[in-house]
Amino acid sequence: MRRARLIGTVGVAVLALAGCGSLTPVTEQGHDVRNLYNILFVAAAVVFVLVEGAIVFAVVRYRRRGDMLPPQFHGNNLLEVVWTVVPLLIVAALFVLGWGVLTKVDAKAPNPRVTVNIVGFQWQWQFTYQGERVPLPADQPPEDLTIKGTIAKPPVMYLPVGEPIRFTTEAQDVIHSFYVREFLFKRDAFPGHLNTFDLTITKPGDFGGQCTEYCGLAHQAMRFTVRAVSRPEFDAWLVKAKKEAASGCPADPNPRSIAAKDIAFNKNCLAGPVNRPFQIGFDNQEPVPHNVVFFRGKDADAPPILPASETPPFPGPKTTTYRLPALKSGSYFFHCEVHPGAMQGQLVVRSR
Amino acid sequence: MAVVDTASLQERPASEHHKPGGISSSLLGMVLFIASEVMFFGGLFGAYFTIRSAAPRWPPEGTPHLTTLYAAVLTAILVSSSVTMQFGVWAIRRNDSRRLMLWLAVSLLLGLCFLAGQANEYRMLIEEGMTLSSGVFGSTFFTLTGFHGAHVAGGAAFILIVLLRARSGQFTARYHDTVEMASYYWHFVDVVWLGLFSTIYLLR
Amino acid sequence: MAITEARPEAAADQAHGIGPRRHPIVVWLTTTDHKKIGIMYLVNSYFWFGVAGLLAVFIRAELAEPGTQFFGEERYNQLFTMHGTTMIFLFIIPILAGFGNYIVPLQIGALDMAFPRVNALSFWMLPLAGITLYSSYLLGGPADAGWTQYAPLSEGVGAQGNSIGIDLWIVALLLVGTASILGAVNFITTIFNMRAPGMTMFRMPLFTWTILVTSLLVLLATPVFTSALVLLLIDRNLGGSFFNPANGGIAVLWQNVFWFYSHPAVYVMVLPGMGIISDVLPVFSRKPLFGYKAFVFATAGIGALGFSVWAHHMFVTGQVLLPFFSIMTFLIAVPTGVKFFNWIATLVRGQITFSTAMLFAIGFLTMFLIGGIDGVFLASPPVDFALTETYWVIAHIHYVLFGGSVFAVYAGFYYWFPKFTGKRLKEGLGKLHFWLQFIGFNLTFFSMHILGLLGMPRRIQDYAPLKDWVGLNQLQTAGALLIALSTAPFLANVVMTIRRKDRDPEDPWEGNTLEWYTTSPPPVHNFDSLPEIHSERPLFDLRHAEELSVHPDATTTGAR
Repeated sequence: MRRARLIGTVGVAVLALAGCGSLTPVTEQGHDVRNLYNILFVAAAVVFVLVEGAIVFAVVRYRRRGDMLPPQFHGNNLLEVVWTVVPLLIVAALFVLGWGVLTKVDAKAPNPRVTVNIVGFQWQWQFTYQGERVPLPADQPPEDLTIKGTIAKPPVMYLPVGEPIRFTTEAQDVIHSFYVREFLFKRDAFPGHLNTFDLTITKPGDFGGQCTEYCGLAHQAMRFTVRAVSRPEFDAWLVKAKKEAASGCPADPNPRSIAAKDIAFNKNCLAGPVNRPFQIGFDNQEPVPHNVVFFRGKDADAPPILPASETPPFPGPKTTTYRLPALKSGSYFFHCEVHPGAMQGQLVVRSR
Repeated sequence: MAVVDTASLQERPASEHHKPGGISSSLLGMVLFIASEVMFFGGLFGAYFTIRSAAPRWPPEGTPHLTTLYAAVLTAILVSSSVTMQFGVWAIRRNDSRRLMLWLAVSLLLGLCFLAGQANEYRMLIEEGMTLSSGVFGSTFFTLTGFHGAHVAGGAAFILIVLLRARSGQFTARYHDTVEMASYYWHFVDVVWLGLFSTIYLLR
Repeated sequence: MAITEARPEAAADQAHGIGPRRHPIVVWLTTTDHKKIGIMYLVNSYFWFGVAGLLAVFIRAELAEPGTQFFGEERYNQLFTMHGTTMIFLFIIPILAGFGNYIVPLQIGALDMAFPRVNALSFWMLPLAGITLYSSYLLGGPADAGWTQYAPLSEGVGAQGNSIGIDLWIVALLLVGTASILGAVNFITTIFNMRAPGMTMFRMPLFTWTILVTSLLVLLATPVFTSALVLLLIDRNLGGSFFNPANGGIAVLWQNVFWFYSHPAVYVMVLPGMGIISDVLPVFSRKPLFGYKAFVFATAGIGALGFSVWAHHMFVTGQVLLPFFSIMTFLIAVPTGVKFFNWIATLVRGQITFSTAMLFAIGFLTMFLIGGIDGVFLASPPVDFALTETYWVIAHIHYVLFGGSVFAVYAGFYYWFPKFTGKRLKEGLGKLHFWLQFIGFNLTFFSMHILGLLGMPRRIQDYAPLKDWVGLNQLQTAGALLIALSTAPFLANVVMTIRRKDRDPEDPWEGNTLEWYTTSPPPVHNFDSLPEIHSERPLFDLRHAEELSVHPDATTTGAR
């Protein structure tokens, strides 16, 4: 009875230790991995206690006492067989267990409703929801909803809870790796090779992720967030996201106005219609002088669109409206000429 | 407990130590070195096969045609030089230093012919636009054959040194380990070529 | 017994050397004596250990807080690249070869290595390699794509900003690789051909056995690395297309060729250390090594199996056959376990004394066990998917390489220092060194297991200020400082002992193996005479011949 209680206590302690450094997994596959880890941990703890214990016991118990030579044992063949075969059986069992879990983790669902194509590049991520078309005019090539991150603004990937999601990963330049710690899972993103895996998220919430294959200077800045929500919420978000994407500026219901505060713009993307004059509203919310200067190209080397007299810097709080002429389809750089490094963005002109 | 006097162990240089029934240290050293070279080429061959198996077409579109007949002639030249090299080894085992020098010279000449032929093939391919940097086929072809050619050149230099030493009468039936070493290396270089020829020209 | 008395001819040898007087610097620069070369290996390697250790302190200083404190991203990436490269190629692999160089010919009763001049060449390539590698700091910046230099990143694809550093890295490693391969040829030939009469293969000390198996690994695996380096050099500089998918190359090919070498390389980094432990434990337990033959077969088994597991470093690439590499990786735990049980059986019923060498040997056992166990977790692909590329792997690496190999190196140092110099290192300072290092090491690396479980990736200089990460990082930085501190008593001990005039007995530990038969240090030609050899413990047999004929339990007829 006492022995049973002792074993029980030790068992609980070991399992509690197994919880050390624990992350609660939030996917079905993650739960299987966690269980496998726990089993491995128990096996490891037993081996550790037995072997480490034997070492400590031996060095304490057999300290030198006197000058007599100890019995000069050379070996024991039976022992060699025993302590070869027993570990062999243990590792074979652990391998088989692991293979079972691997089959589950690698399993592919028959018809996942959501497929996300993940592309890694130096040094951020892009998530494309395969098949989720952005409503664009017929003259423009069709586009799936794509969320693209920047270092300053890492992307948020909305995903539905409770159903299998298919992911593919690849990279544009060097090898990256997609990792969400609470998924207990990572998979490399290779240039020239596509990886595919399925996951089913079991819990709503925000889960941080980052690149886990060293990829150069800003490797640690390649972060992203997975936002797991219920199916209805996911559907609602899809609609909203597609509408924003159609506007040319992702995630922005007001792509024709921009504000300045704390030596920063509140957005780095503005949108305008093609071949029609339009207006951009600018709200300077602080006494520091700012302006918005638009250029006829990808950067400030191109000529400005508006004459300097129409874009003077001014201190706020004050608003103004920039009247822009008809522009062809494309991307036009803008910045604050007083703070050009910190305050810049793109004006995206496309047909609606 | 008896002790053994080590003075007798100091008579001959370490490299000439023979264990009865064993291989001399110089030859063992050469065999081991060749084993490492085999692994080096193994890495290169591994790269070749991996790239080849992943390519949609092999050789890729636009690769200049490799003339198998030309390479077969080069193969015959190199194999002959291995045969003549072995004749040289057999000669010195019979204490015939003159024959040794003759066969060494012939092997050296054949080896140089091989190199010249290889250089000529390179010239032709480069003229047709295939280089190290013209794509995967160029990279793998020139790397594999180039390193092999470098090893042939090294082997030829080794044969030349052995030939010069033979001329000054340094080899006898009893002491000619260096000749054996050179022959092992030369045969190795030949075997690598057979592998290369089969892989690049025959298998494709 | 009489073997511990100095021989007068040895003293004369020492004072004059053989031949006319030469300036010591010339002697050392031109020596082909395996003992001097061995010492140079030890000194050179320990120097690079210090350099790489300093880089580690810098890394830990940066990681003490989230955000950037001292090193920008580029400098930090260079730091961990150079730390890993230096530790592996300029420290641990050569220092074990250095012990091998000094000790193996003595342990088999030979005069020197089979090819003494090639031996010297092998050594001198190493400081040259170190200078080549570190010259990159003056030439625009060192390599910065990790010691693993995965392509295409290492090919300069994308915005990385490094040009010559990686090329210098390649050249330096080509030098180290060549030196290793030549050394391996030397060791294998020496061990096969130059053993003293009576020294059959199964009477060689375990340390010599491990050097033999290690040399076979070096001989067969390193050239594959050479080919990888060459292909990378061609891609980087001659327009080759091996690893760049943009031109038809294959990105994962680099990892396959790289790890085909680098996995056997980890056994190169630890097997000789295990050999040192296997020599030390019996001496300080006053019993033979339990299961000598099992050790030999286990070592050979690990060497062979080591060639079949490389892709366990690549489980998350999605391009390897997971079950095969998983089972082979699990299997390698078995011969390692056999060794552990035999080591423990050596201790059991022994008469153990705790010299510093023995402390480090016991430290090896306790620490390498942890590193071995945490590696088994990674053998299972689903768990590897969660833990690879996180701090769990860093914990594993350092438990086996630091808790394992470095502790073994120090054990060898303290054990053989009297053989090199005729003087024992002071025990008091030695024990201080051991305990400071043991505590510092565990403080630094144990909690990295937890950090890995909590999802902190490796190779990042700035980490999210998650509250479960910051405290552990600070603890680890404190531990690293303690490790750095622990080298002070060691270095002080070495300097003080070298300066001491008086000498210790020539066989201070009552060693079992032939190196203890000759003077300390040995004469140039190693042995004036050799005992008869009938077992793996020739000196034990010599010392206890009379005792053993009366003691009923003791026997030396265990080995043939």
